[in-house]
Amino acid sequence: MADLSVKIGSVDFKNPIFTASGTFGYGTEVSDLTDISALGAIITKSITLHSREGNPPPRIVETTGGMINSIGLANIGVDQFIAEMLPAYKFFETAVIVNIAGSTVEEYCQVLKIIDAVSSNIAGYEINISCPNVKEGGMAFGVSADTTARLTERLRKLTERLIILKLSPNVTDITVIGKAAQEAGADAVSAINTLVGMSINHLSRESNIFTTYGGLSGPAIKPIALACVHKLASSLEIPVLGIGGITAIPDVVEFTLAGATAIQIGTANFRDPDIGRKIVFDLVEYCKQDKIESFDSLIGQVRVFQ
Amino acid sequence: MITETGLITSNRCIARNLWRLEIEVPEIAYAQSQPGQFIEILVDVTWERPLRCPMSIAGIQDNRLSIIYKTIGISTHSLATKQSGETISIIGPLGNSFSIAGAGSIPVLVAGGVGLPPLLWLHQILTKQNITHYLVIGAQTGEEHFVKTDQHKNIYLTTDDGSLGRHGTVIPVVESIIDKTNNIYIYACGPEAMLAAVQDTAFEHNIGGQLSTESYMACGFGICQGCVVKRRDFKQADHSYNLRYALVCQDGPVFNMGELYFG
Ligand SMILES: Cc1cc2nc3c(=O)[nH]c(=O)nc-3n(C[C@H](O)[C@H](O)[C@H](O)COP(=O)(O)OP(=O)(O)OC[C@H]3O[C@@H](n4cnc5c(N)ncnc54)[C@H](O)[C@@H]3O)c2cc1C
Ligand SMILES: Cc1cc2nc3c(=O)[nH]c(=O)nc-3n(C[C@H](O)[C@H](O)[C@H](O)COP(=O)(O)O)c2cc1C
Repeated sequence: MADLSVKIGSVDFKNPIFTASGTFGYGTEVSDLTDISALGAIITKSITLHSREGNPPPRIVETTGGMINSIGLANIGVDQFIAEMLPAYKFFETAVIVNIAGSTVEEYCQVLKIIDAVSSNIAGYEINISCPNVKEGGMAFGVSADTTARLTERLRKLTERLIILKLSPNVTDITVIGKAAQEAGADAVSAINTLVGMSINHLSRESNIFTTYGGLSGPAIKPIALACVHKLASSLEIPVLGIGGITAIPDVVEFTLAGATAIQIGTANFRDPDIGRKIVFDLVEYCKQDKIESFDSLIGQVRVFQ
Repeated sequence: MITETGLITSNRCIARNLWRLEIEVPEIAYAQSQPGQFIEILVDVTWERPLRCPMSIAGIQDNRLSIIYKTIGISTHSLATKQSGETISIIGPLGNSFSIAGAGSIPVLVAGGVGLPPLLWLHQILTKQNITHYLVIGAQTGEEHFVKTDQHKNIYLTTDDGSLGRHGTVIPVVESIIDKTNNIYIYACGPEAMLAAVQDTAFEHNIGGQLSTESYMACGFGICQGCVVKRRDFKQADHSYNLRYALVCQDGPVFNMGELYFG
C-alpha cells in the first residue's frame, strides 16, 4: 500500500484527508454514519471563550453548486468543550485539531491557554481569523497582515503544539497574510474559509440569510480555493492545507498538485458524512493504479505554462 | 440513524403539485421510526444541488417508507422525474417524534399544506388503535386536497379560496371542535403562520399539544447548526448555547405547545 502519511510541523498524520471546521461538529455526532478512525484528522467547530447561540435564522441557503451559511460561530464554549469533548477524544483513533475563534487577541490567547493546560491528546490548533459571519473579530483579523502577525506571535509563545492559521479569501493578496503568519511562527496555514456571498428570493423579495451576507462554500468555490492554495504554496515555506469544494479524489489530487500538504472536506460532509472515509479508501486505490509510492510526492507538482 | 440506498417502488402525482413517493428501505423501515420523524433524500447525484432534501415520513409499511412532497423548486421537481426501479440514497430516521398523549384526551390533528404527511401517519396509527380523534386539513385550494371529507371519521377540510370544504383557515374548525369536545390535545404541522395561530388558540383555551416545524437545514443530524428556531421562554443569559435557539433536526422537529416563538 502507498504511503499516505503527511507531516505538518512536527506532527505525523496517517493520511491527508481531514474534515473542515464547522462541518463535522465536534467529531462525536456522526459515529453512526461513518468510521472517523479512517480520517487523517478532524478539525472541531470553532471554540470561543464563552458559549455562543449564533445568528438568528435563516442561517442557511442552498445555491448553485454550494451553499451560503451564517451560523455565527454557535458553539458550546471552551469550558463545556473541555469537560465533554476532550475526554471523548482519548478514544479517537484519529488526530484532533481544535479550531479557535475570538473577538480580541486576548480572547484567542485565553481559549488556547485554557485548552493547552488540560492534559489531552489533541494535535494542535487551527486559528480561525476568517469567519465572515460575526461582527466583532473573525475576519477582521484575517484581512490585516499586522493583526495576523501580532496574534500568531502571541499564540506561538503559549504552546508547543501545532498552530495553523486559517486564512480568508476575502482579501486582495492572500500571500501577504500567509507570509505574516509564517514569519510570526505558524506551523502551517489553511485556505480557504468561505467567501462573502448573498442570496435573494425573487418571489418574496427578501434576503435568504438573516445577516444579509453569509459565507459561500461548496464545489462553487473550488477554483478560487485552488488559486489561493497555489499562490500560498508558491510563496511560503510552511505547509498549506487546502479547503474548498472538495467532494472526490480528483479534487484531492488537484489540490495536492496545487501545493496542498493535506486537504479538508467541508460542505460535502452535510450530504454524506461518510465521504471522508470513502475518499481515503479511494486514495489507496488511486495510488495503486497510478503506481504512486508516497502520495506526498505529488505536492505542488502541477505543470503550469509559465 | 442509517444511510441506505432505497429502491423506488412508486412515484406518482396525487393532487396538484403533490406527489407520493414509495421507497424500499428495509433497514430504515425496521428502525422503529415514529410519526414526526424525517429522512434526508439525495435527489441530485451531480453536485449542482449539493444538499439533501429533508422530508417527513408519511408512513411505513413492511420494508417500504413513503413521503408526500410538494414540487416547489429545483430538487422537488427533479424528484418528481424519478421512476420506479431507480435507486436513491436516504439517511434516516432523523429527529424526534410525536408522543401519544395520556389516556382520556382526544387528539385533534391539524395539518396545513405539506404539514399533512406526518399527521396522516399518526392518523393511521390512531385509527388502527381505535382511538377517537379529529383530523383537520387546510390547503390553498381544493385541487391540493387528496383526502376526502368524512364527518363520520371526523375528517374536515378547509381551503383558503373556498373551492372545497370550509372556506378559510383551519382555526375556526379547530375552535368548533374545542367548543363541543372536552379534554382535547392538539398535534399540528404546517406553515409557520398556521402553527402560530394554532398555538394562540391553544393558549386561549388552555389546551396542550405538540407542533412540528420546519427550517432550512444543510445536514439533518446536528452538525451544520443551521436549522434553528426561536424558543419562547429562553432564560436570558449573557452566554448560552441552545437556550435561545433550538435545532429542528435534533431538538425537534416536534416541540411542545408553547415551546417556540413564531415571528
Ligand atoms: C424536517 C422537515 C420536513 C419536511 N417535510 C416535508 C414533507 O413532508 N413534504 C414536503 O413537500 N416538504 C417537506 N419539507 C420541505 C422540503 O424539504 C423543501 O420543500 C424542499 O427541500 C425544497 O427543495 P427545492 O429544491 O424543491 O426548493 P428550492 O428551490 O430550494 O426552494 C423553493 C422555495 O421553497 C422554499 N423552501 C425551500 N426549502 C424550504 C424549507 N426547508 N422550509 C421552508 N421553505 C423552504 C424556498 O424559500 C423557495 O421559495 C420538510 C422540511 C423539513 C426541514
Ligand atoms: C455551515 C458551515 C459552518 C462553518 N463553520 C466554521 C467554523 O466554525 N470555523 C471555521 O474556521 N470554518 C467554518 N466553516 C468553513 C469551512 O471550514 C470551510 O473552510 C469552507 O466551508 C470551505 O470548504 P467547503 O467548500 O469544502 O465547504 C464553516 C462552513 C460551513 C458551510
